[in-house]
Amino acid sequence: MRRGLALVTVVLCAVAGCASVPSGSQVIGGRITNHQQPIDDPYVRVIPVGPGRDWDPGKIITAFQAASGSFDGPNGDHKVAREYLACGGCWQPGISTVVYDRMEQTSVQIGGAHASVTVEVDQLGRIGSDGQYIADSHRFKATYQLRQDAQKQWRISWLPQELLLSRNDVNRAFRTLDLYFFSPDPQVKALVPNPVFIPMVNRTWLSQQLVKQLLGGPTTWLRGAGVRTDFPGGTQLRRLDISGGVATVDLSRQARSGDLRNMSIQLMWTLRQLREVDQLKLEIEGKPVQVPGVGGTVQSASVWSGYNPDGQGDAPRGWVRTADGRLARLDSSVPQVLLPKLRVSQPAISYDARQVAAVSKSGDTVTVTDMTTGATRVVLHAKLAGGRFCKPSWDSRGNVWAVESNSHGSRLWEITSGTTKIAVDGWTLAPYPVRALRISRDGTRAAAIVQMGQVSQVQLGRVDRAPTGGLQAEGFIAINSDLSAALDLTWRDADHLAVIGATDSNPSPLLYDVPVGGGTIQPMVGPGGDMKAVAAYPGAPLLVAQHVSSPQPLDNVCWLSDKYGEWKCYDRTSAPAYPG
Amino acid sequence: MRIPLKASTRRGLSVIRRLARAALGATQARWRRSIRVRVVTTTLVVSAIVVAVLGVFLMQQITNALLEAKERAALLQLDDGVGIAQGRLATGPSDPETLNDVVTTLARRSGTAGLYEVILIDDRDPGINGFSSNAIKPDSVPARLRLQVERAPASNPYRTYGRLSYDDGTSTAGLIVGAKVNAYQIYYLFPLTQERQSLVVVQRTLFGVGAALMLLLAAIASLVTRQVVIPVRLAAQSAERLAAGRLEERMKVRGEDDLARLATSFNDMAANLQEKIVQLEELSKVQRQFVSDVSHELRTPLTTIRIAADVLYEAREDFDPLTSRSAELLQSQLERFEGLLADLLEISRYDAGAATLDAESIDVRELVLRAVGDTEDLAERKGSKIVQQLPGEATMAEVDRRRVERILRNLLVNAVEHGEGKDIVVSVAADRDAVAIAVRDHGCGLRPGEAHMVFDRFWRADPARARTTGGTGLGLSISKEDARLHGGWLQAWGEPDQGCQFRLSLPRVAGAELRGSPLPLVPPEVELRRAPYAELKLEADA
Repeated sequence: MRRGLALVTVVLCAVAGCASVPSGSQVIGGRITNHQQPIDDPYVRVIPVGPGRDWDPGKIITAFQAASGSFDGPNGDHKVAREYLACGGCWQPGISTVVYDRMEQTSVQIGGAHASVTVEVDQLGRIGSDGQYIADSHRFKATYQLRQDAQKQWRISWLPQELLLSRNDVNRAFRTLDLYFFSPDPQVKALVPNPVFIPMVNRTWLSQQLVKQLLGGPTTWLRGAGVRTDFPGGTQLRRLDISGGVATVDLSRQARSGDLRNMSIQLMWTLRQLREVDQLKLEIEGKPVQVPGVGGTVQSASVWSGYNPDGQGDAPRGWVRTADGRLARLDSSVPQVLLPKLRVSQPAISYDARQVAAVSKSGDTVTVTDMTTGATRVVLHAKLAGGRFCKPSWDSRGNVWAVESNSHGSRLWEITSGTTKIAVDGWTLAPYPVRALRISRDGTRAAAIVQMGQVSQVQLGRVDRAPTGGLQAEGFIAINSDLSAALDLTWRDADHLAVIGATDSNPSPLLYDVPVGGGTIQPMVGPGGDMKAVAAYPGAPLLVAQHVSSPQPLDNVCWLSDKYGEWKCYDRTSAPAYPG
Repeated sequence: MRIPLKASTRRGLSVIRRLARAALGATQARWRRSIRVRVVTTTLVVSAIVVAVLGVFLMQQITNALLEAKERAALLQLDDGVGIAQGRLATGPSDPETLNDVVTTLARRSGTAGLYEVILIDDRDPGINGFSSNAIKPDSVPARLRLQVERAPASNPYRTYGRLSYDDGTSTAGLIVGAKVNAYQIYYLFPLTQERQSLVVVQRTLFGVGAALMLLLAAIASLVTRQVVIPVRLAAQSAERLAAGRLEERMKVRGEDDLARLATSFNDMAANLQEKIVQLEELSKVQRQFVSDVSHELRTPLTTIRIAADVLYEAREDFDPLTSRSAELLQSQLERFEGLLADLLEISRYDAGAATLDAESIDVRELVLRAVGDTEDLAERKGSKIVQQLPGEATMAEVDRRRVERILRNLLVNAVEHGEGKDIVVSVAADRDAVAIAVRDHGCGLRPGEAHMVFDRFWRADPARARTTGGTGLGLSISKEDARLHGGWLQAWGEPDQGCQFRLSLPRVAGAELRGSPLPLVPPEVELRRAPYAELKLEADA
């Protein structure tokens, strides 16, 4: 009897133990899901609907505009929006996309079974069929023709071929991604990013489109810069499969003649922008290929980290100008003056940190100083009447670029190997004064602040060789329509600028992060004073020169501590610089 | 219509059928013979049923619990989202941008694992029906849920299960919850992928555990049966040995359980049996000894009486007829008495196991001729003729001359006595291993069942018939014992009014085992006569 009771107790305890969850355990690390799902970074789409019954022409156009903001259908070909059309094939919206800010219907004319609706928008820019964005702010007028069909329903019979999308539609429906190409100079090991706008049809489509665009080569604009791609002409994407962090790219047979290594570098750098991709597996005609220098067929992203467009190695020290005009390095809490005799204004440090280019105090000469010897040479005098140089810029080959401008125009100079000056012929910004010019690290692109009338605009241009053999800087395009009064700019990394400037809606200068691809600019928190200049380097804190008026008037350079996200300042300094 | 098969195919089929039948037969035999097989099979079947029922029940319970938890979590998430949306959308009708932001915010709260998708329905703007997150298709929200949410008061959540379909054509089962916020409807769509994976794991575990449990139960059943069956089998073996005459056989008694009791009682039984049998054996030995002693003791006085009787018999002519007749009677009965005594002695020698075989190689025909010669006088007196069917060549066999002669004489005398004056046939045949001698008469024969009794001591075909004929009643018994001593057979056949036949079969080599007889037990002419009757009977039946 007693034994039976004990048995029952034991069984009951065991059953109770089974049904409980642990109330204490060891600390266990690691994610529950073994890999980031492609679902992360959610995106939102509109749900388009077809035309309603007995809508008038104005409503039809409004609804059509709204519905065309959705890239629905298998290839993002606006399946629902086409229901508003009287003709299926009369609309090929791939040609270009007009990005606008505000839309209004200015006139609706109805005559019997035909109607026409005119729409006017404030255009901000256009996205080309290759995904290149060019800011171009003006008023755009579009006229739609409608006619009634057999059921007395209004349908669009003629319409502009452009796709009209509001800024919000673009933000929602497009993603800005970089295609990576090799710099035209074989000496430069860095890749050149080529930002493009790709509609977010769905995740698979986006990644496939990304690779297809990469295979298709750079955008028309960047092609002019002579960037190299190693995909042989006619190479097609046969299959792209992303699973478990590995992107399997299957290329057509044309890829056999290409350099496997370079193709892998381009593919890897392009695909690793997608969060779900960590590794790459290259296949040609369905057969995995072994890329020289890589163990196994699966390449990890770190193999090609040497081709980082932002360069590699530790971030360098920043430099500032002290109140008495000397150059000091930001080693510790107090800036260290290295060359006591050197007096500089607007210094620019070379990438190897051995030379410093500076503008004289009057602004009409450019000097280059060797930091090891302290020898200073005047290499350039202003040629224009009343010409003033703005801050010079170094490229990674060790050349200095300096632009001089007066109130009517500008000239660009290149100083090779620290001594020889060359006037750049193909300088398309010659009719305009230029407030700032910075050459990108890869040496293919130049960002400039161009004074166009009342507006000082941020523009991006190409640096390349003219057919005659001389250097040229041309193809300048506006990358943003919002910034109307830019003061200074610098490259944050290969595809982002930091710009101090004001917009129409906010006239006091702020610090902005500006993607060179034309995406939305983001204001950044500044140090709080009246900002004058900015310097940046990938992986190094942002340096901002400002003027504060209280408690006493003072110039200082502040840096954003990434540890606490607060600004720290070096008093009585100005003209911040990083190499470049 | 039957399709004619090739011979080889037919043969193959028949082989398969035969194999299948054999396997079935073997299984059935095992099933019938082994308690263990039956118990284990039954346990397997019963436990399989129990495990299946239990598994289905358990699976249902776990599924319900999982889905309930999911529903509760989903409604909490929706509540959360509705709160956020209400805060943002409180100020009257909102532009698409605000809605877009709301959906983005809600979708971001889903986390990197993609816990759910969000659909916001807004059917006031032309061209747009709302916003959806990621690749979810708007038609994943079932119409029944939309109808319910549209009709319901604000913030009242509803839920249903449905299929979530995605842009890339895939679809998965999901839980869809929805509520109305101002003029908008917000739906959260939860894919049930995780839950399904969990259920698959549970299901697999249940299958594994169930199978293991079944096998375990079967093993336990097998073990338990083994513990019971082995002692039973031992008991059966002991009983068999006991039955075979090994009276000293006993079972081992282990422990105090039921099986031990069985062993104890078995041993008691065996002990009792042994005691009784030994008693009986001793008793029969004493009796045999007594008979032997009596026979011996009687011989001496009988010899004296015999001498006296011989004197009287030879002088009988001098006596008066009555006394002379008495002397003759005395003489004849004395002869009979002597014969009886000799037979008794002989049989008691057999009983005591003292009889020995004195084998020599002899032509059996010679023995037959001699026996027939001895009996011919008697046969003539009875009016019978002895017909001999002997083989042409010598039929040699290792036999004891005296004993075989005695057998033949006994058989012939028996045949003459019961032959009713008809012919007596003596036939001899031989093959490689054996010789056989058959003696056939055509007398009144034997009734069914008497064929075995003829060899019993002092048995008579007709009890009413007095001992008028010469035999002592022990002759056939002694003959049977003689045949057995040779390792041979002595068998009788008889049918009423058909006569009898006795057949003696002997191995050619003394001590060899006899496998068959060269002569049939039933005379061939009787066998032949039976056949037409059988035919007739069959026809009558038809």
